[in-house]
Amino acid sequence: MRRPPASLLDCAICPNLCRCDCPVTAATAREVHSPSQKARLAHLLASGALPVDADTVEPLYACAGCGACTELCPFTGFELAPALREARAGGPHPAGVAAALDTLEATGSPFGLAPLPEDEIFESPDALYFAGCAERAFAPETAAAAVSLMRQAGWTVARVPSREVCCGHALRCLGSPGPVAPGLWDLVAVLSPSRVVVGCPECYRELAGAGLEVEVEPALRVVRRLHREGRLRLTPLGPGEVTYHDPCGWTRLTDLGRDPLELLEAVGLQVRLPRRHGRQTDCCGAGDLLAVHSPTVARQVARRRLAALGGPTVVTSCARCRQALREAGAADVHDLLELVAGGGEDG
Amino acid sequence: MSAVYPPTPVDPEALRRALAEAVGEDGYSLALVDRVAASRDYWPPATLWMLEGRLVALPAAVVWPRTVDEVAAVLRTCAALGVPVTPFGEGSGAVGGAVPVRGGVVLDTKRMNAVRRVDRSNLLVEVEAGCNGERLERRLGAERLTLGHVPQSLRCSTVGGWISCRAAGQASTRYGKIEDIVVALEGVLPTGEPFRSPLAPRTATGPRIDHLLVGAEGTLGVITAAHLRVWPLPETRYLQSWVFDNEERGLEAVRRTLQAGGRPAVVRLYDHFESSRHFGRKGWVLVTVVEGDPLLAEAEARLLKGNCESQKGWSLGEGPVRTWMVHRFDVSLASPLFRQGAVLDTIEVACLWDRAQDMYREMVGALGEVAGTALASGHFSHFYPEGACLYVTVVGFPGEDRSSYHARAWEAAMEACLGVGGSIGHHHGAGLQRVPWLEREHGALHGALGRVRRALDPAGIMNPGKLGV
Ligand SMILES: Cc1cc2nc3c(=O)[nH]c(=O)nc-3n(C[C@H](O)[C@H](O)[C@H](O)COP(=O)(O)OP(=O)(O)OC[C@H]3O[C@@H](n4cnc5c(N)ncnc54)[C@H](O)[C@@H]3O)c2cc1C
Ligand code: SF4
Ligand code: SF4
Repeated sequence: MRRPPASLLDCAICPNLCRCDCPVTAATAREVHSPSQKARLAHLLASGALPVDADTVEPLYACAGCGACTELCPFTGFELAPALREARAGGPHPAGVAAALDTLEATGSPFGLAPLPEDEIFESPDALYFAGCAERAFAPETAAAAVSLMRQAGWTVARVPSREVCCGHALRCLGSPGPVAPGLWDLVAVLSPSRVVVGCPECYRELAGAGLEVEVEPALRVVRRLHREGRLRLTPLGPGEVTYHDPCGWTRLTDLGRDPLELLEAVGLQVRLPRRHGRQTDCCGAGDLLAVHSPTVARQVARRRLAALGGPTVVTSCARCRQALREAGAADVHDLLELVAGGGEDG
Repeated sequence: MSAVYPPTPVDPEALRRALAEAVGEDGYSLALVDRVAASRDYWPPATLWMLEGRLVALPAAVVWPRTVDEVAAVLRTCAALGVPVTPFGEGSGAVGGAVPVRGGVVLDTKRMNAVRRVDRSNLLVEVEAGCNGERLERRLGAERLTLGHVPQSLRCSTVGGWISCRAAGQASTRYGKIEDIVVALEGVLPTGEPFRSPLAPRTATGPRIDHLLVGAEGTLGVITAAHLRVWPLPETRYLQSWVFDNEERGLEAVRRTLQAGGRPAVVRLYDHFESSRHFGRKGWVLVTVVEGDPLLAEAEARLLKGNCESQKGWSLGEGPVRTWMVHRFDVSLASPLFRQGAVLDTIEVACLWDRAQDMYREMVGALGEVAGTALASGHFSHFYPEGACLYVTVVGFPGEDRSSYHARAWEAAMEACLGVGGSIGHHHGAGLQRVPWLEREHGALHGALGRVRRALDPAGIMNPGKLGV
């Protein structure tokens, strides 16, 4: 494992000022899963005070990357989740993590890949759509809905072929950092798209920060803009009430503002927000691949969130959130873009 | 000075079997990472151990009971095996109370975290001991209620920890310390007998044995739940502040207000160091919040204002109060200081009005004279008709041996406090840090506490080494 960033030591000394909002801590109640204790553990491991093995590094992975701790953190600019990812780098890997890495190596995705839609590649598209691993695994229809909405607005949309799947986030989460979407760079150079559009908040953060020579945009923002500009007509779905679960990745880590709510309102739906929403949203437990390597913990987090959501019909805008809420027992949970594209029927 | 705490020898396999029986397979852990996490609280020496890369005071196991029956089973098991038990909330305690210095089992209360019932007609909440403060306050807030207990550690401490340390919230001048807020307790005695105290506003049926657990820091049993008094969210708030030339006038303004029956929620009188650091002002800044029912609050705000004006306080308006509100939970100063070789600690004591000025001068003066001290400052907060709490902050850059500097600073502060006369602790508890001075604080009653403890805990398992018993 690598020496953690110096700022992690401030966190290790901190009296855990954000622990009240850490969803993993709330779910497991294990002291070692609390934010400051994870930082303290990273420090003790790096300084040699503790042996580094698959068991002792396990709590470094007990994080859903939700950023709730950052909201309460007094250290400006410090983010615990990326610091923990850095501290994991180079292994050793707990059993669940090692298994996820094997799957990723074999299939290109930590979830194992679902059958892929055909690649659609052509030059100078208005958008090059990048579907992340979670979308491909659990929500190929979501990607299809995003592409279809852009096309309805008159855009030409190409799709990134299957081999370019990993945006790099999964590898980073699994303590095995690699390059960001290696094939994408050549593809962008050859196809010259006007923009790269992504549906997953983690892919968005990785690609937007990677220095691609083209703008990277969240699909939701693009669709909202096309609708606002009058280029996209949406079929009304209302009246009806839905509860919106704000994915951490779209509210805290990248601020989509009111775009999701406005899209739901645009199709005539009344949106109910749970007590914790917006930047104060509560995590579904699926972030940072927690659901892959520590499914029991992730399920506990998801159940808590589902109970707090109330409302029979839930809408969200992240494939992992939808999957996590479904696995926690949600009977009626939809993806926002699929819903507004008219394909929102869900089993 | 490096602390060494030899653990009580235990047979890990026997302990594992016993704990599995008491709480089930997912209710305990012997994993190194869990034991390491449970080996510290926010006592500065424990932070120094980490910075030095030392593992000190590791327990043999951590247990997470979910119910009062599971707690009882753990205590019976540990009493039978002669294994120490240290209750652990969220480890924000500032004096080492939760550090398991004799090893054994750490009983983590955080799986007992339910808000069982909000009783609107009697304005009570029944809440389990492991509930986090902020989570409780949010739950109450959703029903337009508040506990009125807002320690700076609200976001990182539990109900059980508050009660066990006799904690004080920032608004304690109005709402009281936690011992004033507790109406009834549920818990388990060291022998494994569960108890519930009578649920009534007051009793006259002999001494309240349950009250022995309030401030016992886990030495007399485990608190599993409590009925606490709650209030409607205040309808009105007055934010007022003044600056005084000296502490005498500031203290007099507050004394007159309290003794006339006024109960402002927040009252904080900062010395010139802290006034300049927090508010950029010379002199002693008084920050206040008066809140509650509109009629009563208006009268209290006027009473306070009149007393401050009569003591030649210069009004600073709402600004300093708002500044304080923004930073009220921010303790980010400590981390970089520790990282850069400093030691920072806070020491809170209590005294009567007629000793308050001496207490401030003696304690800040004594700390300033300890070799290595870079800064000693203080403020008065938590006021009563008969006196106040003085809260002193000390920062030292002692060079190599930080632990011994820390010990010398406490020695100086405690001696100064005992010299003036008062209590050597107002709300952080005694833990490990105050043990050397407890006999002088309590006199013959200290020995009596030891005898009570031996009667309640014949096996001597509950949090040994703490409170000097
Ligand atoms: C940044 C910061 C600010 C603080 N501000 C304040 C403040 O404003 N006011 C204040 O009063 N204190 C303050 N403190 C001190 C500390 O937060 C309190 O003492 C708090 O009450 C401790 O709660 P905890 O859950 O963290 O308890 P812990 O630290 O886990 O335990 C404290 C003691 O209580 C015992 N204990 C815990 N739970 C139980 C239980 N259920 N049954 C029996 N024994 C138990 C433990 O064995 C230990 O002796 C502050 C601390 C920090 C770090
Ligand atoms: S993330 Fe920030 S607030 Fe949370 S424990 Fe670390 S330093 Fe403290
Ligand atoms: S990012 Fe979320 S899960 Fe991770 S430590 Fe912070 S609050 Fe906990």
